Amino acid sequence: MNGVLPSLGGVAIFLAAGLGLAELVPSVRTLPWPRRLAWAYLLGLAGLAGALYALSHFLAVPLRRPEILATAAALALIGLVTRVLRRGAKPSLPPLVSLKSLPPLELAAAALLAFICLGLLADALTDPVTGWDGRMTWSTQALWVLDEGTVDSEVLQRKNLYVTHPQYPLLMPVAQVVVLETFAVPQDVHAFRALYTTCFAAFLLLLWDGGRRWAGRLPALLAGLAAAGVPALTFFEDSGAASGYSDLPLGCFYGAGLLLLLSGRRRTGDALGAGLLLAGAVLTKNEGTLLALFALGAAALVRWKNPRRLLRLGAAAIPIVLALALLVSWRAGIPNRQDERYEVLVGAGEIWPGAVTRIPGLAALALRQMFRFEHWTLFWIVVPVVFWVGRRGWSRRRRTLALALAVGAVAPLAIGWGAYTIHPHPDTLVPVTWSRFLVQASLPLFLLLALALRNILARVSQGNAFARASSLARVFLASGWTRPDPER
Amino acid sequence: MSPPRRPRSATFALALFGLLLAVSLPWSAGRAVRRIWWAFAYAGETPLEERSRELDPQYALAIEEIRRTIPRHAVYALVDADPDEEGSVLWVRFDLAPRRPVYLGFLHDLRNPRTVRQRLIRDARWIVVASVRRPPVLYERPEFLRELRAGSLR
Repeated sequence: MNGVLPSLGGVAIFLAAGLGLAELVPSVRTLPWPRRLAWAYLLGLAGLAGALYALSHFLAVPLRRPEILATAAALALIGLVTRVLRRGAKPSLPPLVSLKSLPPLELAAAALLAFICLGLLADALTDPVTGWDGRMTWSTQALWVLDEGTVDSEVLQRKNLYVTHPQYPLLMPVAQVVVLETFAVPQDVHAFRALYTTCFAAFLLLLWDGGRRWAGRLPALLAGLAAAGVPALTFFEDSGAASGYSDLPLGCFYGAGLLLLLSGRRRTGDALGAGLLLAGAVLTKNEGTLLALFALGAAALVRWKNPRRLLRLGAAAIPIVLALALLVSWRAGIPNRQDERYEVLVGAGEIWPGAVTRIPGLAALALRQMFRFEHWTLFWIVVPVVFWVGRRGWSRRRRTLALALAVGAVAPLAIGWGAYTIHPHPDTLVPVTWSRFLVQASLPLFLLLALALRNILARVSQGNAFARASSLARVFLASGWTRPDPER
Repeated sequence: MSPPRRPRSATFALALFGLLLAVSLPWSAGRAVRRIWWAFAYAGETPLEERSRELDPQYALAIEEIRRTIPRHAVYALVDADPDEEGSVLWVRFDLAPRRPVYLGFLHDLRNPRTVRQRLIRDARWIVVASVRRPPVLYERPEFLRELRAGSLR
């Protein structure tokens, strides 16, 4: 077990910066602490690592301890000043969650989820990076950037040096540099792994936040338990939180941005916060740019009837455009090599007829991944049934919301399918990437699951044939477990 | 007033969902127990012991030796000694970072001296031959070229 303090300290730096940024986001700053910390962690990752990425590239600010701490302190200070200025008008200390007020079943489920998150942290502390992509791309690039103290690393810029995917965005490698540099961690101490495992805890809290509001406490809790049982999201070393892969962070940024766009109080601060999270997606992986655009499109779907609300959505586009400008400028100095070069494949018109002729073969490969027990257990056998039976949970008042979530869930899969359509060897690509696209789609996917479960639970509670199940469900209904949360 | 219809499909779906949780949560909780146990069991390990446990003792020692020889900012060349792409060069590259790699290609493609001369840039004083089947081997440039000509590299 190596680097306990740097691991926890690294998470704490991003939390501190994120709590500052959270003060600027009205829907986040009033949340109770656990959920607020989840949002703050992601805002901190996107805000601090994104700011350092931009400062290093545009202003040649070195990625060294004083500069890192100064940037983190500046972001935290923004929040502090904002809070002090606002306090004159209205105090806004977030409420503490009292464990005594929680129903026993909820407490037990929360303890189980916390235990699984602790197991992930233990994995991060005990073992080095063993996931393929973590070693091939993200963690190796972090070591080069750390060594030179700049994102414009000579290793990335020299064409004859052997770098895989040199133009992949560097947000997560910069986040790794923050941990390694701030705590002067030797390169063999993998303290940065805790950044990835913490993303799963954030994911569960975001799911709880959105799920309890739209579906109620019990469906949200059940969806969270289902997520914790999926190896592809947790311990699987080629996509889960225990891997050094960027798919879960990307899924968190994208899902959180979409969630905030759909649920925010229609204030500009919420839109900017969502934009920052989506900017994090843009700077995390190549497909993040397309996902950010999909998220904006999904939110526009909900708001298209109201031009003023639609206009406010424009505020979310500002951080995304800034992130894109950074990415384009940074990439301009880096010769691409050891990469699929999808833009060339698209330009060469390779899409047709592969988009149609490849469907049967690719679908079989994708299904094989979804039915692999060590990736998804029984998830893709059970959840289609739950979706079908509980589909009325997506109708009436929640129809537009469910449609937006469905667009959000399908977007990563559509991007993956597009890549398979033009890739020269999709048969080798599908087995190693399909589960990762599903991970990227997971937050809207599990919110849809919560909505479907809400409908199923409500129907079971109406029947009298299955007395035990229905009485149990009635207890939950009576305690407001399946009602949407009126808090916000 | 007649009682509501039996929600058979909903009950079936809920039971199926319960089965999913019953199967998958013990799997995750079991993993968590094991990881927490390991965290205590391996608490005093050095990074070298940790990598020896997780990867392979001979691999970890070979990497240590190569790290001592190649300076941190030096350029070295990587050769893949496996018949197909199995990732050995990627793992070695990560463990030798931030040293700067150039890629020579597969060993079985390096029989032509001209190809080697073209790819082996002047900066690269060391060559690391990687394979998933054995620990990486370090060569000085002249030694590598000599052995390549003699056909004694595996």
